[in-house]
Amino acid sequence: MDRIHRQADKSADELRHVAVVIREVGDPSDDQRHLGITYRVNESGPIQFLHLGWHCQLAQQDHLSSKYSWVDPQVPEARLRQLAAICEDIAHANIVEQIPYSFGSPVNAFDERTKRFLLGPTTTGLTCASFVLAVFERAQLRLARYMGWAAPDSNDIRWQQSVLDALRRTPGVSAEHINAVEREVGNSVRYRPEQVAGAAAIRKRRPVKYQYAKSLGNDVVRLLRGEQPVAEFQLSRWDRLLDRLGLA
Amino acid sequence: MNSLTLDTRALFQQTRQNEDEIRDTHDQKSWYLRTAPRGSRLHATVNWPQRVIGELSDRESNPEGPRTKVVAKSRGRARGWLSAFRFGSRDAVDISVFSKLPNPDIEAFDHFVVSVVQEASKSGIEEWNKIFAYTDFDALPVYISILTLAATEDKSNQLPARRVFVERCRKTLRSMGMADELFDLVQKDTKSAPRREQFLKTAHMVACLEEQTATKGYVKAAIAFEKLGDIRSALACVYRNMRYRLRDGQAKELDEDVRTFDIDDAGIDTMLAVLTATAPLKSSLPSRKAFYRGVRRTLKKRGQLEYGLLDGLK
Repeated sequence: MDRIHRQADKSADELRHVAVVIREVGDPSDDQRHLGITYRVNESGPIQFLHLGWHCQLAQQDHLSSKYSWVDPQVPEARLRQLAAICEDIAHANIVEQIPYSFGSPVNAFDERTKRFLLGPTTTGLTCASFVLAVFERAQLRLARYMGWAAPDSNDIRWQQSVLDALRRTPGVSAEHINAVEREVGNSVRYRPEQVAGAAAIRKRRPVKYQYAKSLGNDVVRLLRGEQPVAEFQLSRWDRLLDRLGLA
Repeated sequence: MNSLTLDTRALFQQTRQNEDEIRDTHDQKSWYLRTAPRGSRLHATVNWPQRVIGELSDRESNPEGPRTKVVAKSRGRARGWLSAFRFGSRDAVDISVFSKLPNPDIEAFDHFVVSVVQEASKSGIEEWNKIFAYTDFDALPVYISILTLAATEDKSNQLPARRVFVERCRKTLRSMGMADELFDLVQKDTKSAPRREQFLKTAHMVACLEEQTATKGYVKAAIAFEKLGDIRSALACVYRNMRYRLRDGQAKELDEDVRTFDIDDAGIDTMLAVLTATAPLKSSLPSRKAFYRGVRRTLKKRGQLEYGLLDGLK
């Protein structure tokens, strides 16, 4: 957890090309966080903040609120530069046409030829967290092991239902999109922002299994609330052995 | 002012008024207004009417037709520029010299520069001054501006308007986030290569970022950007051009780009960019496997192969 920094302790300006940024949204009892990516290709350049705010609200901003904490991904610096360039490309290609908000898969979310979001039968839209996963995926840096990710629990389904209700109230959302999201409620897995942030913070055994992402996510939430992690994160003995042997 | 709301007559009246106001000032264009008789002046005294006049004349000649001749359309921008200005009252320049520019390389640039110089020499040095002072270069791809500098390099002392133009090019590159060194390259390397050649090289590098199609030699341009320390442009050059290759169904050409990549000359960022951009298509790029092995070997030799660097790129 030494790669997660609050801006009060360490300015986001010290990032190495890319950082995953996360903040609490609303009251802590809402149990809701928002995730995005901050990046710059050249070390001396200004930082850019890229995030999927809501339905068709992909935003690229040149400032980052001090409420965000940031995760320094455990990725070699040269790969982070590639990731930053890809962020720039994706922002360039999608700011106009925009990305819908839904619970679609982050795999193959962007067209190889145009870098535009691929709207289709399997990719209906992304959340703020799956958008970050999709961007890392595009840079060949898969953060999460999607196979075996837990099915949505009652909290997740309640959250998905609340997103659907909010989409219904949002002007301009098409009936087709509402129907597509309706079908996904309760059937699509939920990638929580804190789990994605936690997965970015470790290098070992990446793509990260759900059990580790969940444990790391809980630690991230504690850090965001100014609490200390319960215990130091550890891989299972079996995974430590596989990691030592260099096996997937 | 919304220029499009003016009719042609009002526009010319406005232009005349502007001329009178500028003539007695120290504005960079006032020398022309003081010396050129009104009847022989170009059809513009400031840049904005030049564009409007072009658009209005298009509308007059084809009122029902689509308005697609405006300079902003990328593939037609270079040609549009050349037909927009005239060398004196003589024939317009043969626009066939632009035929290769939508897919430019250094040879095409060289051909273009030679052709433009030949045409301009028929009209004399005065025409170059007019071009520098009155052509709306802001509406052009930057590489065309740099090519214009290449074409006038040997006349630089006789062209007062060119000095200002050089600075404008530099500022434009800066505003595009490109390294200043890209332009200083021309000044630094004059001992090893003529300035004209350096301008051609710079124009080619900029074209690799500006053009909307894959530009010949873009990998070399990316390596050159990286050597200048402009990593952002180097990576954008690789990602954009490879994207255009895929968009246009040029998998064969893409494989050729990978096969001919000079690993020994390239830096780590360009190598990783090529590996990352081509990773999703590895099955259709037979040369990529050998390229990956070559990159791995070279990085190891240079001591740059750190743990996890090539994760997911094999």
